[in-house]
Amino acid sequence: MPTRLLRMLVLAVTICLFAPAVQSQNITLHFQPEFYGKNIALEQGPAGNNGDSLSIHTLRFYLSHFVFYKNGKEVWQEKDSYHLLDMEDKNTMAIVFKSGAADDFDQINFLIGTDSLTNVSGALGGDLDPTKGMYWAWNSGYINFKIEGFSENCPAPGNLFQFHIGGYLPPYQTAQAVVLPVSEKNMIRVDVELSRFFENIDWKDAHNVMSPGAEAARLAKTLPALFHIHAE
Amino acid sequence: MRNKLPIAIAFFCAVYCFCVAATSVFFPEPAPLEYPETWPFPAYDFSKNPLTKPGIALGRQLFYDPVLSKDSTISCSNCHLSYTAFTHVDHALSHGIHDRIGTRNSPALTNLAWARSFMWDGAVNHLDMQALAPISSPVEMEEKIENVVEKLRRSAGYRAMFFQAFGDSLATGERLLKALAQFELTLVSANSKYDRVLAGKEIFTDQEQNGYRLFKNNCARCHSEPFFTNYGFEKNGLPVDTALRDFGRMAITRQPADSLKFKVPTLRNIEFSYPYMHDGRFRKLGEVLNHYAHNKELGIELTSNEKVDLTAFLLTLTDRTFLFNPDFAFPR
Ligand code: HEC
Ligand code: HEC
Repeated sequence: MPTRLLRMLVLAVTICLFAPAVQSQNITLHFQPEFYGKNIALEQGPAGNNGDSLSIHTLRFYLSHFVFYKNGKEVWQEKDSYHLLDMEDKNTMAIVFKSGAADDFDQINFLIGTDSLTNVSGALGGDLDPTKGMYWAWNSGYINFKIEGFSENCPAPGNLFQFHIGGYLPPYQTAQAVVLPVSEKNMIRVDVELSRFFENIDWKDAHNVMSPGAEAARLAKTLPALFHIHAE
Repeated sequence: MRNKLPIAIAFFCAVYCFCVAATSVFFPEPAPLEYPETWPFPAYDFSKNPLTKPGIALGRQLFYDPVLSKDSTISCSNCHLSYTAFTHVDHALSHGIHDRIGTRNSPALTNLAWARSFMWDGAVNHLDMQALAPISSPVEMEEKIENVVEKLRRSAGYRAMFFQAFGDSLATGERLLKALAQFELTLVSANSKYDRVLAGKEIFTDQEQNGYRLFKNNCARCHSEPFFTNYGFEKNGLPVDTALRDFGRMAITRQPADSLKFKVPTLRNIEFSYPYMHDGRFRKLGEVLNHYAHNKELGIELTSNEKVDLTAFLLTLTDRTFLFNPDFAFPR
């Protein structure tokens, strides 16, 4: 029955070609940095909480290990899940999961930063390539979260602050888990409320964190509270 | 005719698959690490960076190329010379770009595949990542890895070498570091007189034999065979240099217990890797032995005859096939 065989072959090829397109749409997680609920851009001064001026010059961070859940059960996890988000490059602020990732989910978990295994695995590529400026050459490990800028309250020269938060060795680990309950399925907006980070800064003590240690670990713990689903 | 069609389709599919496979599968010639059977498995995970002939050749080219420094004057080999077991001979503190002096003595590069951490204080946790430190250091090469990668992308010669090594002519930070690591991993020293004696091919003199006995009793707990280091961090009783104020491992772990601990250096090729210690404070092996001879902290007591015998043993760790290996020298 060669015609039957042929038909089956054609059918199989067609299914293979079109199957991915038939499934559900992409899932896009869009991260929007803001200050007291207002969107901010680089180098533009948002008002600080007391009307003092503060502006962000660099905001770069890793998000990794995305896992989707439904009713508390894992439904999908991204493979090789590492993303470097950089305010300077708008494209990086949205993470797109290709269609077919998960049909139905009500919760997304991820890490702010990189896990400890990644930190001891030698040279890696893509977003983890050491040319991305997120690796400490003189104390091996990734900078998980980098925020730099200007605050009139910062006593450093030029009122410039630099917080490079990283470190994977106990007791100063800095990777932080985030759990986001979600209702939207395709375009999910996540606000990154930076004011909450600065609420934990006492400018007299800290404006320059550049290595792993107690201060980096303390600040890392404040990071999950920055991330929340955008409320309409 | 009808029944030939499926066969034809199948045939075309097969040819297509073959073509895709032939162009995407990339097989650089493998060059697995060679070392004595009695040695333990390396700590380095070769599955993530398998040694290949073109990979090693690229790493060697990079090791000897000053393109890695900001003003193209300093290469890795400036401070790590093959004829002296890859140390900066005659310089207590290595000097780099614009003749700036660093704060530490450059260590010998040998048997790196078995090391679990790098630098005198273990600041670097993986051989791949080590090169980032000298490249970025203002007293060494003062360059950004981003710029090095840009420079390499502009060079036709390097594009060809990256293609041979990685199946893609594009230089990236990852590939640059992996290639350098491949070359450094091949720096295996395993053919000293000591190794040949252990293999039953030669015998120690009485003096060397006695030195070996003294060594096992006094030194081997830190300078453990067969690498002559336990790759750990230890305090050997040296007082801190008051000008440099280098407290070693504590800078990394921030634990007071690690104050003045330094990574135990290998003693292979010790005859050639002077000056000695993290700050190069001793120029002669005799000074090192004087430091250990009446060392209460370590519980070591050596007579002057014993020092002579111990020195005779240490000289059996010289490996001329390593020092003069043409595969390690400047490429052509
Ligand atoms: C200016 C001199 C200088 C240059 C140039 C230099 N090094 Fe070094 N190297 C040193 C010093 C000094 C140390 C020890 C540093 C420390 O402990 O803080 C070192 C340590 C190392 C180590 C660690 C060895 C161990 O056992 O811990 C490796 C590997 C190494 N260098 C490879 C390289 C490579 C590869 C390059 C080129 C990219 C390079 N070096 C360039 C001086 C230099
Ligand atoms: C407690 C561990 C320990 C013991 C025991 C010990 N060493 Fe060391 N040795 C070290 C450490 C750590 C260093 C590096 C110290 C530094 O640079 O500050 C070192 C450095 C050296 C060096 C300099 C190597 C170089 O490349 O700079 C020599 C040579 C040496 N030891 C020989 C000996 C001999 C011989 C003995 C036995 C008499 C001995 N050691 C016993 C830990 C030890």
